[in-house]
Amino acid sequence: MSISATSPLRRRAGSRARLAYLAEVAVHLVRTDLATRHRGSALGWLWALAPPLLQLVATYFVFTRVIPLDVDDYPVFLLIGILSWSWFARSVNDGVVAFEQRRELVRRPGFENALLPIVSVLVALSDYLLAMPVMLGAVAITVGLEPAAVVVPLFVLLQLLYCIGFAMLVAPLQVFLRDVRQIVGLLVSVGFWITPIFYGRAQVPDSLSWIYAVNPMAYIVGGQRSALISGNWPSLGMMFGLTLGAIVAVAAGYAVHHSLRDRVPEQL
Amino acid sequence: MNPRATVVVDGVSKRFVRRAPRPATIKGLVRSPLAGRGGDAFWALRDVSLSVSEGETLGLIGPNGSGKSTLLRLIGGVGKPTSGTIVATRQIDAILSLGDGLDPYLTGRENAIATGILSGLRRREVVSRLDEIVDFAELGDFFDRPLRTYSEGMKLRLAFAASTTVAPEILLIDEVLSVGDLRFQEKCFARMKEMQAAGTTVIVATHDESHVQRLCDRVAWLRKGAVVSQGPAGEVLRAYQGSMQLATDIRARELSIEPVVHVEGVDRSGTLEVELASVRIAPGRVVGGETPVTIELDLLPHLTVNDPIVSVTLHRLPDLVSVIDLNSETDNAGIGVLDGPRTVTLTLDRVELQPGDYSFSIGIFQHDWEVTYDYRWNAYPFEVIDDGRTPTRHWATR
Repeated sequence: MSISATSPLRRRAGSRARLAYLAEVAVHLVRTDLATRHRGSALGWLWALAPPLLQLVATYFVFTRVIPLDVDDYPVFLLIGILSWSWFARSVNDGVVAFEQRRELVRRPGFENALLPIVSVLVALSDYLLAMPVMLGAVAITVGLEPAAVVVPLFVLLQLLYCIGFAMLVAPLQVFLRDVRQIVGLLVSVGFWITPIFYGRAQVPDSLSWIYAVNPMAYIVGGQRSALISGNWPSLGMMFGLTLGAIVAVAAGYAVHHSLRDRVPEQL
Repeated sequence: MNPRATVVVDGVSKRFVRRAPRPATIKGLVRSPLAGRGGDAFWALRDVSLSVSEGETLGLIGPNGSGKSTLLRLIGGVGKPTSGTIVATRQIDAILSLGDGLDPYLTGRENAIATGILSGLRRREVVSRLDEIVDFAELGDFFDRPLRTYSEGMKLRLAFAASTTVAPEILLIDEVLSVGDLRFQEKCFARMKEMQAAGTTVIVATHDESHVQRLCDRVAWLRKGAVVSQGPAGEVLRAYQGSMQLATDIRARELSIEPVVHVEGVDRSGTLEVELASVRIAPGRVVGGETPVTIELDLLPHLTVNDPIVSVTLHRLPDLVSVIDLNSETDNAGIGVLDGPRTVTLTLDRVELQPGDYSFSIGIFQHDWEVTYDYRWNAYPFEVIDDGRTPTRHWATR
């Protein structure tokens, strides 16, 4: 057997090749996560669709039959909100334990730890993307797809940045204080209620609207609804604010990650 | 700085704070807000400096807890030194614990790809080497079965094969070579030799001296986080073996005896409170596998010693793997009180070894192994001219 002296790809620190390599590692980690998760189950990846759809049915029942909310096109309205929120909730809840659960990778020389919370977000994203055709199909059938629907990928991209920012922020903290996971779980649960998921911004009284003004998920869900259901283009101001917020979220996540990165492997 | 140096460790110290029990929950913080602050600090490494050149193999030896693994992790960029600097000019790969990253639910093939990618290869590079990997690991049809169906040996072979298909520029290895069967170890050694020939810088931590002997150009000996000595492998190894027991030095100092750490050409060490005056091997130094062998050891105590331990180790040459490792403690052969010269006789009914060259190491230790009285390493050559393993034996003191 022959062994080549050096592989040119190994000298890739700081270069574009390094980024390409890291992307491949991330893709690999996402792939194996997805592969092992559904291996051996009869329905396989279809299980990814079950939780949001079941939640949709239950929520629809409660807010049309038990406590009628009187929202137009409620099924698609709900579907958009629940899918976005499920992705967000899973990203953050899985991201917080990303280091803790892959201890052997964190402590592996040369491994880029920042990938782990990002991979948690991407795994959750894959479930979201799987459900997306269902959502777009439902919109097309019930209200019809308007040209404004083309902005949806933009919202997905923005949400991706927020998720990565939050996941990178909480993952290292969890290593130092194991309560972080519980706190994050509680905040996400509360977040479901104080974000317009099963109701709309329109139903919120003005005196409380400040709670919603600083919640990026409120804009991401609201913006997609207005584009898909009403066919309205999002305002430039809102998109600018969301983008700025996303950059701040990623920067904050990166700053926390960067300041703790050397201590994380030792603490694990 | 040596222009060919690929790893330079300069004055590195590492302090850990052991939190017991660490207040990693809010409850813990509230209860004992100060615990873990001042805490139970200890220095895992103290002012360690060393440098390794391209293509060179450095061995780190020392007992458990001497800082070998900590040093390897720091060189690998996992964690930062408390003080000092570490510069590695090349891409580092590491086998710190074989099989740690393997997933039991993935197949051998998938795990091989995973290991390769995490070792710094692109996916296509790993895929193009899968044949080599399965070949080296000798997995056959098992390659496409889930890892949970593998034996430990198969997992190790897979992990080692996948981690080393491409020679890295710098390779860090922690202990992993002492696992697996002898034949697999031989393969690993062969692979390591290829990598050395290809210019890989290797840093290997081990407490198996025979591995150091076979692989390393230079050795750094660590004790309690500090470098005791470093230099050419043979010399440092002899010094290490000569002073395996820290207590031996201390004891010698207490007794004002000059400890023989290393006598050039003699491979002898210890406090010499009890001397191994002479060694006789009967019927001779060339025996057949069926012939009983008697080893007579003359012990000369300089002060009264209670129930010392006599150890006899037979090494295979030239790689120094120990094939027989006996001592009077394990065999319940009480040596008794030594208040004057004694002769200890060890009879091996049959040596049952493959024909070839061997060598005995013989040592006399305090009853609890804490002190080495006299240790002669690799000092008594021996040749077996027939065939056959662990012999039955009889000890006697008179």
